[in-house]
Amino acid sequence: MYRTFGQAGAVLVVNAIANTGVNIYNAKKTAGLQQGFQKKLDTDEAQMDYIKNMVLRFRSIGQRIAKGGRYQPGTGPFEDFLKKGLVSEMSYRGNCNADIFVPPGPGDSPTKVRNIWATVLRSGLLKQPSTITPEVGLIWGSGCKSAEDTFRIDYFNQIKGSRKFDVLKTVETDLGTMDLFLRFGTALFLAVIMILVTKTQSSLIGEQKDIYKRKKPVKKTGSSH
Amino acid sequence: MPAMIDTLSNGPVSASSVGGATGMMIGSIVPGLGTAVGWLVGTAIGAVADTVFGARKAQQQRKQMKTAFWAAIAKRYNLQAFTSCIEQMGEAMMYAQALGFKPGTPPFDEILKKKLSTGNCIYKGNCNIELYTPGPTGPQRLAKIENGVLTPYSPNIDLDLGKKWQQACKQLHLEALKAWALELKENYEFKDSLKKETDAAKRNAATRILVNLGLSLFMLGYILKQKKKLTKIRSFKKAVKAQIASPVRTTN
Repeated sequence: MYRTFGQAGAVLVVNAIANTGVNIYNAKKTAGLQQGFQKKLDTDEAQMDYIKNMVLRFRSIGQRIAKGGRYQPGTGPFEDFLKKGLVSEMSYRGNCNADIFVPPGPGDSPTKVRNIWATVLRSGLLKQPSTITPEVGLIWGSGCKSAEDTFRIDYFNQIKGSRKFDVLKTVETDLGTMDLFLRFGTALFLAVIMILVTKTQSSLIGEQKDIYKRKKPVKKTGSSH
Repeated sequence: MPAMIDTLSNGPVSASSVGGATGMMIGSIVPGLGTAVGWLVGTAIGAVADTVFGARKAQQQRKQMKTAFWAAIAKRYNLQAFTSCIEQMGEAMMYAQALGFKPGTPPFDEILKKKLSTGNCIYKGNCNIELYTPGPTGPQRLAKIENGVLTPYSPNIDLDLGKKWQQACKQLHLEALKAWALELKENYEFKDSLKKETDAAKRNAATRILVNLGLSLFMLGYILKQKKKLTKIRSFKKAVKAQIASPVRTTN
């Protein structure tokens, strides 16, 4: 009986140790899991911030080209300019398809060739295999399409503005021409009137002079009586 | 058996207590064993079972944590799809407004439908949409929003997104309408300024013509007056000449 007692007691002690070990293992596993989750969330956030910056850069360069009013968005020349403008951030292939480069490191030189971070497509898909979070594809897809609309809007506004300017210029030119003709016409008319006045006045002065000459008294000479 | 294990793992009574009670009962029945020994043996066996159940429960909890985490990640992805749709909708509305269509009218809605007829966000008119997510074989249906009610076709999507979409759509329409009204105002102001400039130029021209006409009439009047004077002087001179020329007759 005492042997059984002792064996049961030993089992209890061993079980207590095993229980503690299981709890420690569980706590470690849970902590590791939570760390992994936090790391994933932080990494995803950093990736999403990076792609949002790329979208902003794409938008900014495209808007600059569109506001120039020279190249219509969606055409070949416009896309070529976009490719050139974005060459330091991505290899833009047109139609919202691009190979985005890895973020530059703190000590990297601007001319350093960077690896491709992700290949994004217009549909919002990321080319697989990729370890990047799939939200990156959605953010790029919608951001790029929205930016294209923005380019078109800016281009329209530029065209409208320049047409308004042309209309204003035409109206002011017409008014200026009308004013010029009017001034010239009135000056000519006044000049003719002035010539007539001058002519009439000088004729009158001439006739009056003639009369005064005739009326001039004759000088008396000394008499011989 | 699984139900019993679940009750022992999660219930108010642990396996050790059940084992101890069972051991005591067996110890009281089996001759020579005794209740104390029976309780100890039962408790020991129950404690081992408790440890095993505890480890199993912890494993299940970790599994649930993982499932919940990945479900939250999937929900985040679907929320991003929704946010992307709002972004595209906003720009499409500004594009339609820039083309000159008045927001809130049927032609405006038609333009939006054409603009958002492909891709992950399909506009069905009247603020109703179908949401898709990109997939390797093509877009995969995510949800449909009609009259502010979301019908999910995929799990892990917030059902409140239907109401949020309706509010967002109304707000976007309002912003587009404000932009349209502002552009209309600018166009009216531009036409008004052109008209004012033209009218001012015409008024100046009329004033100049009237002033010059008045001056000319005055000078013409002066010319006529001087010409009259000239005619009188010439006729007087003519009379004097004629008098000088005709001989004066004297009678003696």
